[in-house]
Amino acid sequence: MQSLDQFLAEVEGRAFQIARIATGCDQDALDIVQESMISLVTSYSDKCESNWKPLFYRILQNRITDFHRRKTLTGKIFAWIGLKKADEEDIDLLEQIADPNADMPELALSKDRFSDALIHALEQLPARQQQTFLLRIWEGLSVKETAEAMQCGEGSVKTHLSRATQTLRAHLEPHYFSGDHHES
Amino acid sequence: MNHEKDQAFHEAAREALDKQESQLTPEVKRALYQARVDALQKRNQDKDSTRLWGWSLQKSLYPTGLAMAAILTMVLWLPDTGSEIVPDSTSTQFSAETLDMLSAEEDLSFYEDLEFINWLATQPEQG
Repeated sequence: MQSLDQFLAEVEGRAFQIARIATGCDQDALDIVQESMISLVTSYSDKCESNWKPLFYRILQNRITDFHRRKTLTGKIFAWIGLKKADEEDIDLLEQIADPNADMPELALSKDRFSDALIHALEQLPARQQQTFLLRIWEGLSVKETAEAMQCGEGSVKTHLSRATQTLRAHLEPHYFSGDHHES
Repeated sequence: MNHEKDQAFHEAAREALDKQESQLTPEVKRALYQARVDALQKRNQDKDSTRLWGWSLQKSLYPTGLAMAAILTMVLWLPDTGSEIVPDSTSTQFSAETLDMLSAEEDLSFYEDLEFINWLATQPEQG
């Protein structure tokens, strides 16, 4: 029988990566993972261990959603009072919008670059597509488990995954399939 | 064909993400380990406090419960022993007389006179 400690040790790295891709900040990601761990162990540790993974990712998703809500609200407040946050002063928002037609020349260089480009492309996806892709493809949750974690229907999971895959492939495939790697 | 391409792409993405995960910095790994330890400690603390609360509750409730049970026992038991029902001869007699009067066919004025006759009988003879 798996202990809660073992379970958390198994998922913490992935959970951190998922939260980091969603928030774009290591510290925020660590806070989200820690809050999720605490919530799981204090409220759901008596549940059957086969439920831990969907429950943990559901908590993680809720924390990420809360983070985005807080961020949006803070942004609106700052915009309303005509102020920018100190750390946003020199950032051109237009630069943060991904150009789907732009080339990513670094992709063709190596697997490391492919990894970096993938992370970058994932960060540009809408939140729901991003989370669906990570939970289904990377974490390996079933459609049902992903739907439970994201609190949406199984049809939505399939739609989000399909759109996420299309967008990511559109960004990365030319380099991926013509590059010197993959095609296993 | 498209499905196969999707699968190949998913496989490559999985591999890339695994690689990213394996390259987490020692600081991040340490922070994650600490987060896990803190979470598990918090659960143990919660368990301990629940157990302590339960123990102190038991400790305070047991004597109170015993005292309440003793009082209840006394209340239920004392009336049975201390105030046994003693037949009240006057009241039973009265009830029997009343019953007699109600069931008898004589005129009620007879009974009113009867009270006077009884009183008269108790008076010492004079003269």
